[in-house]
Amino acid sequence: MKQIMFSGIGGQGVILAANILANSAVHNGNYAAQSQAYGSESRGTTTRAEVIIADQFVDFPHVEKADYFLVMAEGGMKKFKDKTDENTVVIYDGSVFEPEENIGSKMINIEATKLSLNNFDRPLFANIIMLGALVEKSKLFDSKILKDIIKEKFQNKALDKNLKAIEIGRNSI
Amino acid sequence: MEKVKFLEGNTACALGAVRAGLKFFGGYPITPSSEVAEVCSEELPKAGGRFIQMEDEIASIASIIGASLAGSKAMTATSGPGFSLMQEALGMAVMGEVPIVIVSVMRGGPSTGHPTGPSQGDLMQARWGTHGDHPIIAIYPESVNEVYYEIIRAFNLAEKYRQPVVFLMDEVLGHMKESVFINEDKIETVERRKIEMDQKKYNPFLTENDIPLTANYGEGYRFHVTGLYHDETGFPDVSSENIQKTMDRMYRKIYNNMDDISKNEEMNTEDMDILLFSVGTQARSAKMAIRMLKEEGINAGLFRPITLWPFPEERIVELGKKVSKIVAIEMNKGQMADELRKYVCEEDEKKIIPLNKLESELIPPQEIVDKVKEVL
Repeated sequence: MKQIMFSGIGGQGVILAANILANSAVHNGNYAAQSQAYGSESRGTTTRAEVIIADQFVDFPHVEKADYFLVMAEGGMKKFKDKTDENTVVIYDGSVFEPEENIGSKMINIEATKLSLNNFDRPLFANIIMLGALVEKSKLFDSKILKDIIKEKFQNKALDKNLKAIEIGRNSI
Repeated sequence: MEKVKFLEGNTACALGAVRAGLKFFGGYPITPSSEVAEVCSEELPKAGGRFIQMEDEIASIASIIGASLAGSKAMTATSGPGFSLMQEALGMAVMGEVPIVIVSVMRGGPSTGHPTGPSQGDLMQARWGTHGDHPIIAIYPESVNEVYYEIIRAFNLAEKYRQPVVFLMDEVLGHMKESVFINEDKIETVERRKIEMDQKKYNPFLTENDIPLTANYGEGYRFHVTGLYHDETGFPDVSSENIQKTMDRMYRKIYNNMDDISKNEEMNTEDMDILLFSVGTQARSAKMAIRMLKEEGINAGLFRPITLWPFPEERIVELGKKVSKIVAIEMNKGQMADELRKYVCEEDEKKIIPLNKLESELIPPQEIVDKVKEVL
């Protein structure tokens, strides 16, 4: 079983990223459950999205100790630290914040927002860049599956950019 | 042939309802149920149905009662504040014996409470929310896959017994995404009984096996539905005799068919040191706790009513005799613990151990494990 936790600010697309990850895992033949916690506001508060991937039906759908923790904003780092342990691999967006402390077994800096701005003139694709980095690092499944799901969810220009964002993320690892 | 879809709970609810034959949705979107309305607005017209966004929840339930009386399978979806507003007309649907399905995706209450967080605070509201004695059917699944199949069963029971059915979910289940294994061979739908009778002999509340043989409005039969106690003609009769007789019949039509209506899941209840009782999404945490306890040599069992109301009294009495302790795990202040005490606590009032939390999160498996070890 793998437990993956995403955290960011509402509007960054962490729930979408988690959804794509879980959907990909299901296409890979695994069981997956994806859930989330967020505030009543549609944007601006700390959000958390969770994915559990397993070989059998997932009983408890929330992360207890994350194997991977993707952090896209500073608030989540402190707020959800108790859901990590010494084995957690943390992937954070160092172009958004500088972590105050090291947690888990490894801290990987992916400057996703900066990479998104440089490549697409918008911060919008940072979540998918992070996802590309996660799949490259974790080898949860082949990145081709991730791209297949992206192709189901996006069309035209958005599709091309999201596919490119996956590659940018993978190349950052 | 099985088809795997990766769906959100609310989406599975809407798609299952359409598969069940839903033809009318009247609703007022509210977090965390809004996606049920959203998906119905897209899918219903394609299936030959109608979607209407009403001005509020009172109008929403009134609209589905009307649609159902006119012959359509009808549903609304809401959450706590909206469910509160629907209570009066829910009673009307019970009294008029109108087949409707009301989805309530539970969030933190009372009042606006916590819109985006889960709760199990409305289990008793589903049972007793509308005033007066009345039978009710409520179903509460645990997974997105189960949502798809159980919403179909909700429609089937509503149609078969001419009875409003409350379909409970919680925020976690409504917004969780997981696999749904759609197998057409496993799906059965119940269609409303077609009434063919000499119009002169017909009355809307003539019954067969305690279930009224009401024709759909507009099919040429005499028609009257009222919230007052009524006789076979549908017109008011508030004589003492009729009031007692009518409600006795309404109870019989549900409670005499418990074999058909009741549905539970049991895990390890054959050989157990302690029983866990939990419903809906929270039961998944209990299942994981059972596996963790097993590793430590403790045999815990699980009893999970899928049909929550009517409460599975008989089975809980049997299971209660097998164990000395039952831990009732709920995201509320102990609503089911109180219900359990009605059936299993003759000698030992400490037999029911409530594990309750209102932290707007599922109670995690470890806390259940700790509680079991503490009380065993």
